[in-house]
Amino acid sequence: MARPGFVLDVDKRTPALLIPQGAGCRLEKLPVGTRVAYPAESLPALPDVDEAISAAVDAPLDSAPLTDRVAGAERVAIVFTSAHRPAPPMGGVDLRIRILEAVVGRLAEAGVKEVSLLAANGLHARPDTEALRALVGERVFRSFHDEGLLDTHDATDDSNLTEIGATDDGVSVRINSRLAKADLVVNVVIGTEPGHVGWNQIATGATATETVWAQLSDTSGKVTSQVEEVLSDKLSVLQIEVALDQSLYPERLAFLGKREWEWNLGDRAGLLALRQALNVAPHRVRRAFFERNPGAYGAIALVGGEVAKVSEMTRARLLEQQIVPIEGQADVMIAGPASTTEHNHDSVMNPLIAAWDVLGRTFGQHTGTPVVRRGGVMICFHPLMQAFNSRRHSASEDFFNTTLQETSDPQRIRDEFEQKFLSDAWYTHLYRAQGAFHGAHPLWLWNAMQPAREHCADIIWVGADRASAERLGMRAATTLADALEIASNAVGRQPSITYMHTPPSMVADVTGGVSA
Amino acid sequence: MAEGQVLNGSRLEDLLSGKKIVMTGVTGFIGEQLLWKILTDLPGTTAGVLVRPKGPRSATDRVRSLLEKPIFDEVRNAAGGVEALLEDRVQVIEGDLPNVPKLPRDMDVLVHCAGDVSFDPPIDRAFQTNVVGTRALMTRLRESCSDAEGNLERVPHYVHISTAYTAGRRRGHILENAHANDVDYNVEAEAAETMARRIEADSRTPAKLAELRRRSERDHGKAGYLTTAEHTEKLRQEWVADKLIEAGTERARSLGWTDVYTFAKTMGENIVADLGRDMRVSIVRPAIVESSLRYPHPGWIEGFKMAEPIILAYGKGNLPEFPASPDSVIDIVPCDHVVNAILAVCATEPEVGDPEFYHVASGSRNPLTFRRLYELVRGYFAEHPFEKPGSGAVSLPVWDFPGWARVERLLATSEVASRGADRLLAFAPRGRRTRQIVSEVDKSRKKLDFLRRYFKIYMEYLRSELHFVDDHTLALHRSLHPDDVAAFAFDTSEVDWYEYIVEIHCPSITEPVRRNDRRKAQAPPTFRDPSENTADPSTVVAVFDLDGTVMSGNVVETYLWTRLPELNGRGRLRELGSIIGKLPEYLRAEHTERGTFLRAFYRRYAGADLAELERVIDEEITPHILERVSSDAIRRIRAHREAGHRTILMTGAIRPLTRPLAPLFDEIVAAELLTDEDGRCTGFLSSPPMVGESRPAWLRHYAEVHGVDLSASYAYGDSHVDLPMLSVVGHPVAVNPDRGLLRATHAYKWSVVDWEASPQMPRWTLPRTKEN
Repeated sequence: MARPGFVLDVDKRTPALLIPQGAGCRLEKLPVGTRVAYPAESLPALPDVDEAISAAVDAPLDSAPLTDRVAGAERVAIVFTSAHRPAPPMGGVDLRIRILEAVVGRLAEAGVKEVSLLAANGLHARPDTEALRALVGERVFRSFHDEGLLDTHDATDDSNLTEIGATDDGVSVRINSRLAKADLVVNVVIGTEPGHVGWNQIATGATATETVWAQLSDTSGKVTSQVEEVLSDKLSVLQIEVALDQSLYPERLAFLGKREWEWNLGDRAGLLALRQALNVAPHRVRRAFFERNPGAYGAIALVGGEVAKVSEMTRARLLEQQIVPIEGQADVMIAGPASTTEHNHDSVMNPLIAAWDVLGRTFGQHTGTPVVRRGGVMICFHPLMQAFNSRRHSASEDFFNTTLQETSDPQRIRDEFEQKFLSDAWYTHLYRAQGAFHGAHPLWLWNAMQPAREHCADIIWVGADRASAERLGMRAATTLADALEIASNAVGRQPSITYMHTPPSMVADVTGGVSA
Repeated sequence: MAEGQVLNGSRLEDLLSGKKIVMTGVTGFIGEQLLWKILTDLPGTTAGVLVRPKGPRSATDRVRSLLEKPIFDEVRNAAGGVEALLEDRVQVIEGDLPNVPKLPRDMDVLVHCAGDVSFDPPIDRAFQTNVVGTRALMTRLRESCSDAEGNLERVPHYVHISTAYTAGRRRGHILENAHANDVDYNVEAEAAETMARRIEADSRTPAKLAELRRRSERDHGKAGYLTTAEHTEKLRQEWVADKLIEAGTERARSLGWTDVYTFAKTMGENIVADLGRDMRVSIVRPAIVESSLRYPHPGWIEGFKMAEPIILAYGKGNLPEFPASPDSVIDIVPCDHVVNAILAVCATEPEVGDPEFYHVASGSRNPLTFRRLYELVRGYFAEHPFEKPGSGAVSLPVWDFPGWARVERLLATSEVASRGADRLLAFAPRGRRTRQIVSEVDKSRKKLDFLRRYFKIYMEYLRSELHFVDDHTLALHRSLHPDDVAAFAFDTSEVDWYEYIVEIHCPSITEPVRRNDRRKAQAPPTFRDPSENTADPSTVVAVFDLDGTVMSGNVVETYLWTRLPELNGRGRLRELGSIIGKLPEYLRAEHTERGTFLRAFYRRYAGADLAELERVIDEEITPHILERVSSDAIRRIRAHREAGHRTILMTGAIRPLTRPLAPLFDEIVAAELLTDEDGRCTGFLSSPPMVGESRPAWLRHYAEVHGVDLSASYAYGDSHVDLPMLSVVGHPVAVNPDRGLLRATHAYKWSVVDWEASPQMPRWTLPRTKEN
């Protein structure tokens, strides 16, 4: 049985703890009394993945076997709605290749006339040829690519989008034509978080810009559920979901995922070497280092079948792995962004992405009650260098340098700037042809941070570029002690502090009121 | 020997009533106030002014705008406007020195106060104005007073404004009489002309021109032939000017004068004595004329005279030490004293053939020493410092007058250090830090050049031990009617130096500098939001250079990206080795002319398949190019597009490399690789690379064909090579400039911006290495 997540109370004997700060990490002595939430250890991986794959295809949940469903079918579309996951990337052979080979084999047996493959990342960067090759495997790549049957979804390409319905509010549901035309859609999903599964995968991965954007900018969830309704109504989908465990690091970096007091001599030596190396390395090298150390993931669930049923199972499994019970809300929450996120594969972690990872992702991972109380303070660790990938994150860079210069108010941004980012010709060109994120990307990140910004009285970045922090409407501090000093305005001199010891990520299950 | 004249007890306005005073140099400092004084305080006197037409403006136009200056407000309004004033009181005589026209026959007094104010004029000009000009003027004066046979019908009064420093290198008390010398001014004037012609001819000898061209090429070779040529000619003119000044100074010193200014002025006095043998002649010799004490208002001054540059440089903190003897006297007189003295002299009637001399000076009765001046000026600036933008008040140097030798040594050492630093900088890598150092070195060199120049000019004056006796002037002053004493004061002993320097002179001369500083602080940058441009957007283009401006990288790097991936390990090593081996050759080519370098380097593409090259670039290199592009540049390009401007990419790079950026530009001008029938590159280009001076030529042509207004257009470049391109547009912007371009931006007041790219991969990462 894997050890569950738990909360450590920092006392005098507690060693300095590891705090992530993007492509790097630091050791920090936390104030006595700080509570440190540690993620659970990974659930045991499936002992036989091939068996699970066979089960998913041949005995799917709430669904006839794949071969039965494609009997007499003309066209089948195999979709990967999370080609950009996981981050960091998966080491070894991608699980999806094994699933794909099983699926393609069954389809061939059933005599399906046209099988097409689609990597559908929604408004994320579209995978390039090399990424596609890695995703589907050399064999499949060769046979499908040259035939024009291996493609990536383009949310802006009107010639390849088909309207299949609309929501009550008139949001058009336009979907990649390959899916619309297919008799059956097989969607292969990889998830590391409870939110990574279900209908929203196709709803945000394989639809048109306006369809995705309507969902992303709708906080009530109404649009999302209606789009999903249209999809489940119009499409026949066999969903295969894989839930991954928490092994983000390869063997030699495994200590990054261990609890500090359990480090052995080798781990300590490894950390020392790593820190020394990272200290002298320029940030490009630091980033490349983490990117070239793919994770040794295992699958904790691999299920096929009807979408709702499948996602219910994988979500439960992921929650089981990630939930950490925490007693009471804290005045101050400490967190730092992971080394790599799904938004900055192959790119420097720009300030927006760093902020998103902490304020959007880590803050938002809870069962209903945030870790920090309303009016509390978040203290985050990242240098917030004003460096952007000018190919992939061109829109973010402009958003940071021009839009945020004028306003950080989401309403004003929506009114005055949103349209420009959604329809700008250059961003669209970069998204379509050059592997960039969609022009809406910065707005998406920015919107995702809003709940945390509204919830907290102050957000303080330790060791950050002051101008960057100010641009984001936040503060910068040199040290944790200074950050706490600044925070004392809002939370007093003796705040309760909770440090979310990510990555891997966890879902906080906060019970009770504000802790003392 | 004349003993000086005094007035007969009448008021000046009565003495000069009904008289016509003709004057030269009315557009100058003393002349302007002289005219003002006549018009204001001598209601019965009319003025004649000899004025040279300047360009399209006639003499009358020039006088008209002179009379519209604020000091003439009162008299102009009283007369009922400029035209009425001209009509009633001022006769404009269009003419020039030495081409003097006929002078009016009804003139009573001729005041000659035109002259060079510069202390270091070229030798020919010094003689032109002071000797040849004076001779011509006096000849015309004689004509206007003579009958047809040339006999004098009446005797005019000629008042000559000279300088007290005609005393030259004499020492001690200088009396108010002619400085005896036996120099023949005709011979000297002619020799000066000959010298000027010879220097001009010397400057055009092949040897000299070759030397100047080589010097010019060292600094500007990269920018192209025309720029070099332009600079060569500038160097030649500078050389001629320097030589002429040197010739003047040396000739003057060989005869016992401090410089050609005082020498030529003395020759002027000689002429006056000769040609005025049968006339009434007075010679007024002011010392150093500075701003007015009382009239037209305290502190009135036009332009900068002798002491201001020193005072201002001190206030700016640029004069660390001063080579004067602290107890030497600096002989300053307020301008209104000089004007008043001249008018009083005009009212006298000197004996025919016996010139009267008047020193208008303060040194003998109210001496101001350098030490005192220093204290006063220091006190003033301590109270009212110049503000440096961003760094507060200027810190004032403390002088302890260590003497000439020490200051000279300090200066010489600093000059050597500055030159050395500059030479080192030529090899410094480009970057913000280097640019900062270049700016500092340039600033200190400018400071040193200033010191060198001024110390050279003033050295003699700084150490002068001259006492100008002003008995004649004092006697004249004492004979003023009591009612005239206030309005026509010229007794320099009444000057309170504290009041004059601290309360009048310094505020007056620092005001325009402060104004200028403020204006400079708000100087409109050439880098402005394209949407602010008011020109018709369809006539505006924005031209961008590629390497170093829009993208960080260079032709060598991009070559390696395109060629290395297709080679195996050994092939790569060989290719790299060969490039490194040829590096000195490339560097030399790059240093002399960029086009040559590009041609030489592009030979390496020989044998490459162009279609394959394009495929490699589209598929493999594009991400690298886009990730090395500066987002600031992209934003700027797009801002131009949004404003409706046409965008042009102009580069010496090969065209396939511009493909990733194609959607941003309306026009791309790049090097075209020539291919053979198999589509393989020959290593040659189909047309010369578009660098340096080819760019403005292309732009001018493009502008003509497409109706583009270059003066409303924009250009962005990063290196000295881009200078010609930047020069033809109205909004040039230097992006991360190199040393040469940085200097140009300082000279032309262009905006400098830093556009940084943040490449995602370490520099040594090659495209496609990932999969290998």
